[in-house]
Amino acid sequence: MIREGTFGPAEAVILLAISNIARFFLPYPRNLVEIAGSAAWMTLLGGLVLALAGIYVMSVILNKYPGKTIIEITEEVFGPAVGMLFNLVTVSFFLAVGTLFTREFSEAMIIAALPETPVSVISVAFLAMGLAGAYLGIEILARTSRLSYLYVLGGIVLILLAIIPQCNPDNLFPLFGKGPLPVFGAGSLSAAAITEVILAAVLVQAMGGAKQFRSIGFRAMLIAYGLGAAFLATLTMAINYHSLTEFTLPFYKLSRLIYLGRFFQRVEAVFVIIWSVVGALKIALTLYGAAVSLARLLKLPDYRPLIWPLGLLMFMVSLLPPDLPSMIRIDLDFLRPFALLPNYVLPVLVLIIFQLRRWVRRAGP
Amino acid sequence: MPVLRALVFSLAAIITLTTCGCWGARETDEVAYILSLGFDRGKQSELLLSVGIANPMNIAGTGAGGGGSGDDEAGSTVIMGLESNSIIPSLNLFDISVDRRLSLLHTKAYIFSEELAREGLQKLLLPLIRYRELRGTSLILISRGSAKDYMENNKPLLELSPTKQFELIRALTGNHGLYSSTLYQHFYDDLNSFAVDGTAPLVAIQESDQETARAAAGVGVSNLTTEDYLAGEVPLTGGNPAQIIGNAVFRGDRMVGSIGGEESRYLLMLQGRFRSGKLTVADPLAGEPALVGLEVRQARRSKIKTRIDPEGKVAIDVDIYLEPEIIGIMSGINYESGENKAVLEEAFSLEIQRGCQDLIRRTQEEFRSDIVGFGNKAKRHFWTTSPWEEFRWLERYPDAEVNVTVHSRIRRTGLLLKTTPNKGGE
Repeated sequence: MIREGTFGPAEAVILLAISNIARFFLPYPRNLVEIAGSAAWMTLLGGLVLALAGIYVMSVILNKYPGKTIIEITEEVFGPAVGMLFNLVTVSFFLAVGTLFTREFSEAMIIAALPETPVSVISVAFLAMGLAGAYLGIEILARTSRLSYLYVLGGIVLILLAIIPQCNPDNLFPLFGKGPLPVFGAGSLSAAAITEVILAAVLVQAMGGAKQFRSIGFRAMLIAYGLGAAFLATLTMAINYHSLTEFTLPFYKLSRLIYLGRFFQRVEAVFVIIWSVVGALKIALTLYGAAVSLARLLKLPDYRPLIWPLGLLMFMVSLLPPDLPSMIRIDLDFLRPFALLPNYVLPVLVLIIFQLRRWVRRAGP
Repeated sequence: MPVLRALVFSLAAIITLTTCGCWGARETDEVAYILSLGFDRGKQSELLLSVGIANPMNIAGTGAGGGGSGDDEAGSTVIMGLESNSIIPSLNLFDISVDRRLSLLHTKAYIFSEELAREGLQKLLLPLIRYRELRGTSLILISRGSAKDYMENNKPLLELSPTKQFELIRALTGNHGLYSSTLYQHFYDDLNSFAVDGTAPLVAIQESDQETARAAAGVGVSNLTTEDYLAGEVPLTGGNPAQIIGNAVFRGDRMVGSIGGEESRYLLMLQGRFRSGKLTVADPLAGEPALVGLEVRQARRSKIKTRIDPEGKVAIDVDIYLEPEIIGIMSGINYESGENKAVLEEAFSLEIQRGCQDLIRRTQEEFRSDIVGFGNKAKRHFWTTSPWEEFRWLERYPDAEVNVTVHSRIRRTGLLLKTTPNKGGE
């Protein structure tokens, strides 16, 4: 039995919300602008609907197997062989997210603040925080999130408010950007490619069980997507979408535009601190998710022996892509589509098989 | 677990030492901060790059004024020039003479000569915006004449810190509206936009004195102020010879003309960004030429409504809301009274309306450039970007019909509530 500790719904909501917003600090928002143009913020509305649907489907599954996580449920529904295969997909997904985020956060840190520090040193620093967080456990991570959320979410809101003088609402037009199809199709699918549905399903028992799952998930998604939509709308208002698609780190660019008189400017330092906290939490969470999923899969009594090898694997793989543009391409072309698999496809498959079995059982002799 | 504790402690120490910025640390006294960067056409190379470097020895309190030059009269800014074909890599060449690493982290203004601006700025702006040290909140200035001359002769006598001048320039337009200040990021956005063309303030070294200055227009001809000046033309005596007034007008990335200080006010009023300024209007009731002085504020943002007919012709209605306050009546007519106040409001509104229409006509016929940003409103008629971009607004703008209506309401009359004509000088 893996001891995970427990934490309350408030911690869980904040933990998942912070994990979700980590992507907005990276080059990812420019991808949404590229897909949707001036309507980039709307992609998050579509993404929210999908994420809520994902949470709903997952909650239905978890409620059918109280006391179990998605790892055990998958194995039970699909059988040991196929179940293990699907669970390995989940483990690899967490590792892929952790790996890509480690490299992207490190590269972003080089661009923004530490131009002369080698990427490996920054990656080690992020991973060290991730390793420490994962080792200490999800309860510690959740409580850390709860303690830091005022600074993280408050800091983001402060940055968005401070940029208002630079905003031009006309930049939000044409209202549907590149068209409803890209906005609510590719854009929303990309915006729905998150880690939190499957992560919450892995952490469900620590979060208070299946009964709490839906409410926690919904609230976390509403906060994260609401903040994301506000961020993207502010971003598009401050910098027109043609220029936005050119910038590597849109949020960083936004924070550098803050100018409230001669004495309140150059506040990007605040942003970099928030960025580091969110980056470290995200890496710790994905590493924890990978370790605990693998431990459940292998029926190990403790996940902690897996942290070091998995962390090392993440570190080594994160250094394989030759440059930042390649890393971003991998994120967009591989990670985003891949995210749909454990978060949406797998739960739907689990539900279908579960129902099929039930019908077969009922129809049987 | 003493071994584990030692490991954790060592790891924490390594992280602290390597990621606190010390890896690329540079003390302030090892860096030379470029405060302004000038661009001219070079004689041997494509560019003459000029840098205005902060001179901390003089900024610290002993210096007399900003500005400066490469000669022995070291001001708070040291100006250096270099002929080159590139921008950022050239900064390294300055380092062979300056014993510090040059940095753009505190650059407040990028000054382009009019000659370069007329050839197009895209190729100069692009490499800069990519560079991590550039701040989008820096000013873009267009120099009538050489940017280097402007930088060398710019001596803000009241400022110890040369950066403060540029910070104040940015804000000062709110007090008079004689130029529309432009930030790097906004200018770059405008170059990329399908809805608006760019403008940037004009700067120059004073070229005329009171003897050679263009005569001010007669009262009642140009009703609002004296002649509409461009930078360098205002016949001031004494003080800093550097002037900033008027705006360069761009079509795409090329400068296609300029507007004077008065027209810049109209531009700001049309955009809804005019904050306040002191203007004069020809006295509508006086028998002989006289002026009424007004302190004008924009009451609220201008309303811009656009209509597009099935043939694609665009009609634009602009409503401008102003609140003048009487600050001087030369004729002694009692404009504080209800009837006269209405006459003055009407006269003022008509003058502003005429000025705005004239500016719009110039932008349509002479510049063919939508510097007001009417396109930002026109694009609201489109649901998606493709039809909007195919509409090619900037090509249609010269044919748009623009109607301006100015609404003025004199709210206050200064410290006097009634004007009584005095007995005169006889």
